Amino acid sequence: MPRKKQPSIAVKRALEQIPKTEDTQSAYQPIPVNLTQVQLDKLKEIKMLGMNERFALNLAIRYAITYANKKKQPMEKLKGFPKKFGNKPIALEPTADTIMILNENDLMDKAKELVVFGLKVFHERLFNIR
Amino acid sequence: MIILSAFNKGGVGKTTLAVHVAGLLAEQGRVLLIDCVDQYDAFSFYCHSVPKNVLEPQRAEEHEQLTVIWNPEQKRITRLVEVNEYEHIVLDINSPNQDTVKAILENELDMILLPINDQALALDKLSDTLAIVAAMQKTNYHSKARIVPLGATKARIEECLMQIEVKPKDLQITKRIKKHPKEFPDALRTGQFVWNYEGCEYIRDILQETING
Repeated sequence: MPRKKQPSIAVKRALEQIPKTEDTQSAYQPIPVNLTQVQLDKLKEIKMLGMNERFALNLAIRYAITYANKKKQPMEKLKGFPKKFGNKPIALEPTADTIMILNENDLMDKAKELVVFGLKVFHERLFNIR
Repeated sequence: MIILSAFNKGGVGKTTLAVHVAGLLAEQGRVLLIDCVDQYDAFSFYCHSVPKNVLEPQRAEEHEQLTVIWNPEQKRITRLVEVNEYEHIVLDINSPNQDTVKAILENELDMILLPINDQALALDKLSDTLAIVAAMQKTNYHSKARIVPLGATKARIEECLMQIEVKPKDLQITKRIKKHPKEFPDALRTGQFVWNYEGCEYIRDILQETING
């Protein structure tokens, strides 16, 4: 019986070159934001619904943009749009979807404010139960 | 579901397969198509343009639920997105074996699609791609592998498989897609789905069956 075909030396070479270190670098530039303790608590409460911090913060940005677009008002005119920040630093690792929506709405320079504003409006609508 | 289209030879239909599978999946939910190929043909297929910047996500024209990213450095998926932002993610990669190893190792794939046309050289290279998939299964990877005949007959592929020593688990050959030397290149060039061409309608059903199974 003829010998079966073995993988070539190229396979061995490729397997030997398996990356040894994990790629932990963000694909996109992280967005540093300073939150207040109250805002951090809101973030924690949102996360308790079953999402990690990165997901929750990205969702907050996207919710803020959707909210502003539906209100049809300039972002800065919206009630609660932040003019100052807290002193608890976090770094948001944006996802591709968030980058795309920020670009489409020409809001890349407002990303920090959108995190804070998004957390506020998103939390209000999720937890203001009457 | 995360799907990779891979093969260690150029011109076998990796990009063609990736864009069509992504298009089908985008009818069912949100899809991210990650184009890791230097030539960005998958990106251009959907965006009808060249990428402005590396990693800049773009919504596909005429496909609201589909986002495309050109990722030539092959950054791992979790660095780009939260996986649960999408129902499905499709990866199209370059031919070198190292790229296949990296794609499998760094991403939790559910399915690997291995397109194969009727070139003798493509069939000859099948053993290496299968060996890589099999080797990765020994580490941390448990996805299905599907050989998608794009021109090659099932009989020829089966004959070839009989002679190959190292094969992955859960390997199947899908139904055959015939050779369409005019339609496939034209579809990729013009950004049209190949199943819209006369005589190619059956391809949609085969690909649907492939991603369902």
